[in-house]
Amino acid sequence: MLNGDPMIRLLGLSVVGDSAALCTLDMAAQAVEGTLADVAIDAAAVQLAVLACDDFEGDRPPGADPAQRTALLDNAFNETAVRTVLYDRGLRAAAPFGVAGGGGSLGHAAVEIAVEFLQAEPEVFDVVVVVVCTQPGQRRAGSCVLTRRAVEGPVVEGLEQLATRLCGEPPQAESEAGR
Amino acid sequence: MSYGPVFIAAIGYALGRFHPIEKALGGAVTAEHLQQLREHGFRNVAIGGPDEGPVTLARRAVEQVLASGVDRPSQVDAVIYTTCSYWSDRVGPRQRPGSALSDRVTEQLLRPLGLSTAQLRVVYLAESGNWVSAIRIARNWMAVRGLRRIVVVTADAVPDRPNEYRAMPNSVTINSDGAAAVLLCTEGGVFQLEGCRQVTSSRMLGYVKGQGLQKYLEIIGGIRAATDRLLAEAGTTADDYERLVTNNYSAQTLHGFADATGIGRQRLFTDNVPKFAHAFSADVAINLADCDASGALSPGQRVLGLSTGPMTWGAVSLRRC
Repeated sequence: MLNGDPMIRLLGLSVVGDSAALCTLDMAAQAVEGTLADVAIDAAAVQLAVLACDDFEGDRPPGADPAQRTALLDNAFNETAVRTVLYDRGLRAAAPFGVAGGGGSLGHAAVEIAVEFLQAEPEVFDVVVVVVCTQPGQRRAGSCVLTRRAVEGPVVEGLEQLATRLCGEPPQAESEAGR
Repeated sequence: MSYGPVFIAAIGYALGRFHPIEKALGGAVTAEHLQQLREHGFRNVAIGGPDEGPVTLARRAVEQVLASGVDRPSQVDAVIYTTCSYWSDRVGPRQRPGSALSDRVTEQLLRPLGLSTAQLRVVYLAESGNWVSAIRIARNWMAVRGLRRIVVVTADAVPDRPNEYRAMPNSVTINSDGAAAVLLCTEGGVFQLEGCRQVTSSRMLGYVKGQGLQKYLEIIGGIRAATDRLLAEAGTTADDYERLVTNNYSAQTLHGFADATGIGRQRLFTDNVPKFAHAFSADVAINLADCDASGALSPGQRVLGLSTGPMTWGAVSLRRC
């Protein structure tokens, strides 16, 4: 059960592994595309997007010189993130919430907050996309849909397990090369 | 799910040092631009010192709420830190590649204030509307997981980097460095939170230069929709609100906002527009504190807090206890 709520189901989990050619937000966008391709819910029906990122310096491709890595202005990061990861993927009705922290993994924070929205505001939200990018020390992105709708899909056993599937194990234990 | 009672038990804030806009902006804007800013009601801007970034300002604001709201910091279950200034911290590990924002907040805010046992969440993307995003996440956190005391702190500063600016080119506001903290708790306080609603429109991303009127109408529509949903949740009407507190923008912009809420211009709190202009998302909490300190509110009276970002508009209903 996901946080004790058997009504919440997991759909379309997708992970994009380290890619030298992509910046963090592009990896996140690819993960969202993979998720949406796997679910029978129209992107326009998603009401909420929880985007987790905690390393804004990681937004540029690895190896880029420091000047390039800091190229995005503060406001430009927000707009680029929403446009690249959500809007251009068809998630045009999704209210965007950027999150980080949480005491556990970045994925844990994102999943926990998404579940709280589904549980506390069921009249507003029944389909949420969760996107996690740039766990410090790693370069990968993961995405999934959580929904209260009566659709086919597994009930997840716990937040931490789902977070681990989104983020991967810590770098030294990482074995998944990516999608 | 129905929410249990949630209160604002304490408010604190910190701003950079005040400078007259003529001195602070003199070389960065034209004389015509400066004149326009004055006509819009702006007089001063608050600028943090060389070692005073958002987290430092946040620490000052949180210190105040801890001093007046709890017996000891360990009583705080969680801290929600919200910002749109990812690059502005002028001290600490900011320059270290890969340093996470939440690490900076932990090292420079939580630990020095004895909040190491508090859970931390960082919230962003709504920019100057971040405050209501954080309040909303806090209320859900309390309802679902039973937390009793959460400090919500919003902090921003203009980074000292090329192409970042203080005076908005359209003169709608001037960005100041500042932070505001509120202690939310379930056991009573100064204001009771009666409702919290937000509206987002991704259409804002589609507008291009020359579509200013459409953007403005979208913003007004978003504010109206957020307010309507809030009033429905709180079971109130616009007439039930004694004051409206929102972000500090030009008089013309604020009049449009006040009209959109239905609360009206005469009940809009604007005292801080000339004092420090726009401290990003902190404006609403600072204005709430100062409005209350002015004696404008009596027990039982309501304030509507409106928090506006580029594509997300949020509103909270607060009743003075």
